[in-house]
Amino acid sequence: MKLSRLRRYPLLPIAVLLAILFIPALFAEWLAPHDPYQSHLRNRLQPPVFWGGTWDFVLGTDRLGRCVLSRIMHGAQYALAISAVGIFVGAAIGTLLGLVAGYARGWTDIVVMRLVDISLALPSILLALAFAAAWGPSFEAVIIVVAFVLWAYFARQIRAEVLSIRERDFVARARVAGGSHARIVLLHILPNVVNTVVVMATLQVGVVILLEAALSFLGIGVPRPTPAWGLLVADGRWLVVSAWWISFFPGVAILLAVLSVNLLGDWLRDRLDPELIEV
Amino acid sequence: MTRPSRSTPLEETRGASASGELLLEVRDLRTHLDTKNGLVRAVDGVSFRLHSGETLGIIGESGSGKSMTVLSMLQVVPKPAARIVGGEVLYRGQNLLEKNEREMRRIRGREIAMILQDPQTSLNPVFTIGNQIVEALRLHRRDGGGKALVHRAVEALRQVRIAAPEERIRSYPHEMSGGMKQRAVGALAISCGPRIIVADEPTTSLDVTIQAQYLRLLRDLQRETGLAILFITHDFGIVAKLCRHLLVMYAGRVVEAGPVRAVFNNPAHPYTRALLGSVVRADTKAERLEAIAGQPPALWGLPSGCRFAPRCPHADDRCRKEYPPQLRVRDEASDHVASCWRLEESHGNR
Amino acid sequence: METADVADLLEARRLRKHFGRVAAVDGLDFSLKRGRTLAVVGESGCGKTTTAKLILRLEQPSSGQVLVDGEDVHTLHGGALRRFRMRVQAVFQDPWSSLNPRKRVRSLVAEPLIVNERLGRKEVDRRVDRVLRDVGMRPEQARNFPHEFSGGQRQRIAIASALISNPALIILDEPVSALDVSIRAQIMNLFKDLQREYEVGYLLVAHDLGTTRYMADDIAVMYLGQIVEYAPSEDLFERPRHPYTQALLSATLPAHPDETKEEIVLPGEVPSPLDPPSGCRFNPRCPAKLGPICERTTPAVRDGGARGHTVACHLYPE
Repeated sequence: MKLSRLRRYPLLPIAVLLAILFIPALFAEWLAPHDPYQSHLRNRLQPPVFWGGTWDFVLGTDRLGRCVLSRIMHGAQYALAISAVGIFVGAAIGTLLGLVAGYARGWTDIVVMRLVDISLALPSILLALAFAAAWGPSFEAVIIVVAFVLWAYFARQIRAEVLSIRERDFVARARVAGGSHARIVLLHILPNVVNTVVVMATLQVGVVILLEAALSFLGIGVPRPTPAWGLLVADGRWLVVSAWWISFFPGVAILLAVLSVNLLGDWLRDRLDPELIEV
Repeated sequence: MTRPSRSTPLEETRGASASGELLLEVRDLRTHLDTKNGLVRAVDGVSFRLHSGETLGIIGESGSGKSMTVLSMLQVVPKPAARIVGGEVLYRGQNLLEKNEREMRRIRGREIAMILQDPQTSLNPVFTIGNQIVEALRLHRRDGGGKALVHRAVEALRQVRIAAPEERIRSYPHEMSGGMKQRAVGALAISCGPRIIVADEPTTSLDVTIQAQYLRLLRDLQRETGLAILFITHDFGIVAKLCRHLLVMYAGRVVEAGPVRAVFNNPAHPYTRALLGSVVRADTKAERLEAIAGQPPALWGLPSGCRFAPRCPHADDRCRKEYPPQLRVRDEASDHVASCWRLEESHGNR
Repeated sequence: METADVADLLEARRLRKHFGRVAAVDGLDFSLKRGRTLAVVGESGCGKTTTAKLILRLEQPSSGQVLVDGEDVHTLHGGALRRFRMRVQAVFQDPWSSLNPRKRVRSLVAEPLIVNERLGRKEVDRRVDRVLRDVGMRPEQARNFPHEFSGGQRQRIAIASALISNPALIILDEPVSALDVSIRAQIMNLFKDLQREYEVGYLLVAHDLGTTRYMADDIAVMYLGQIVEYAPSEDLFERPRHPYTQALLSATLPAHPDETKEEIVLPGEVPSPLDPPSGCRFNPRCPAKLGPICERTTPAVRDGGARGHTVACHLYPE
């Protein structure tokens, strides 16, 4: 009985996420053993503690003698901030357009859906390159790229749901009651797609962390010396053989974060959309 | 009388209703269902018999267990939520519940076929009607080559009165109207020559005049082939029109059973009586309908006594505590039974 | 309001609605007085649902008019439209689809008031209380969500919502056919009680003639977008004139196994509205077809024998 109760909640993913994403992101200032930007030139390329290093630099140091652990912890801030803001903007735009397209149908629908098709056809990395070229790499540019990549997924999914919801009788009833279109969309239809938006958003966190890492790795994401996870991996790539820990631990952080957040998203989806047993 | 519900009263009157060969005998069938709200006894000790050439109606509301009964019979209950936990399903003497999946596949379709409520989901939209019938035939009868099977399919469509079957065999489901589709499902069902057809509310999605056509078709088919039909419905009108025997189910149990005429003339269970009284009639204008109070029962946490007790105007303490045994109704039909304590009183004693 | 008793509550005049080439509704005339019930009966594709939508202003007619209290509902705007939205309500077939699963009962029921009237919280609560009581529910159930209720209770909630603005007309679109048999009688009785109490007119849309007898004062039988017979309910059931009405009546299921009636099983199915038959639309299936005249000439509406009884069929003299 106890065990099944435990199984009902995805404790492990939550724990992992707290440990590597949320707690470091919020409390890196206090928790990190070192300043992530400070070079300890005498301690350059220190291996992690269990590889012959010292407890002073648990996960070792990089080429400039910066603490890998501290950099990962501070990097969590960027991963979280970019996911949260980027997904929020993308989801908001996508949901709104999906609602409008699905409810209004006709020309609005056609136009929105063609934009969706175009957006989905564009390779996101290319898009990011274009942004970076236009504005230079910056935090804001990454947010814009993330929102730009994501909105179409939301728009397409939400539109599909709205198409079926608008045919349900409660929408007809709302119209008979005299509600305006805006009222019907916002008060009657939107609450019925919120679950989908939340689940999709959760599932996108992994995508965004990977995207951000890829952008940083390519040098078109958040500019150096910010300790974004992708940058950390990129920094260590020339030393992979001799000082593998520089790339390895940020890589593990990305992997665990993405995996946990996807597990959480799957659980949330099952939870919010329970398959009812028909008798 | 420790387990009154286990009595199989039809036993006592063996032969009285037999018109043809005894095809199917279900004894004390029990199916449990695990839901989020707890265990549901979806089918709780259902017994009945079906003879060739006979139409047995199972009537009940949503959640009465009428569909789950036939799904259990054929072992196509939704798994893993549903479990058949007891009883016997004797088809020509063999217990179907002891058969494995491979053996059951030979029974389903070939010996016992099903017609479901919604023809839309019973037909595969990407194959022609002919294809689907031929495929079913190929599964069950290895005799005859392609030509012969196609010929058989045409015959099946002709049997369900589909006009120009040679043409129609090439139609896709979406090219047919609802009534036509349900006929095609009928053709699919009879194509392998089953002895029993289980029809689960096959006319609820049809228009009134198409329903009349379909019911007549079933009757004619039965006359021609000696099929036994198990007709599941919520509509007393269909039972009155089509069936000879009737089972009334409520919350997983049979509350009344017997010949249709006897049940209509002398409904013994308060639920049956109330349902019959609440039917809107076309032949006379009622000033007011007799409504049944309350709501259909939630299936979890059912009362330990009679399940209809919370809605029953005659219920007393015993009804609420103890489930009534199945008792004979004293009327012209020897196999008319009902589960109600009131009957005991009217009998004086049992 | 003296004139309101004389004038019809609802009137349709040569009402037509085309979807592309399909004439879903093809020239309807009918009327309904306050406090009475008109049933529109027919099988799928006959246009009864489109008719309901036209009255509710969910569709625009291609031509013709719907008048409520003598006003053309499709020309209303501003305050007049808001008044219309208060006076005309609807109860739909499927209580599982007609209640927004994300709203509490209170806001579901109060919707017409909140949209159209500026009332205080207290007043809204008071009226929700009253109307919930009127449909046989407890006021404290206003806090619950729809999924906590059974089908019959959900339909009661939908009815409460339709009543809260004190409407003069409620469109009932197959209001009991999705409910369990044991619940239908409760709900139909409730409709009758509420009609007396609120003096509301019902337009009842149904596919089964039999079930309308209990509720309807007048019945319009539709076939392929047209009214083939229109009569006071009792007269229609006692003396159905149109062969289609007779077939529908014979197709209603018996109330007892011994009930015998002439069984008219119509051949074929309703033809596609894309390509309706010429002349009388019922002629290809009609068991009483006279001959070429039925295929050539659309039958005019004639006297059906009793007062208010009309029939569109060549069998009867013009």
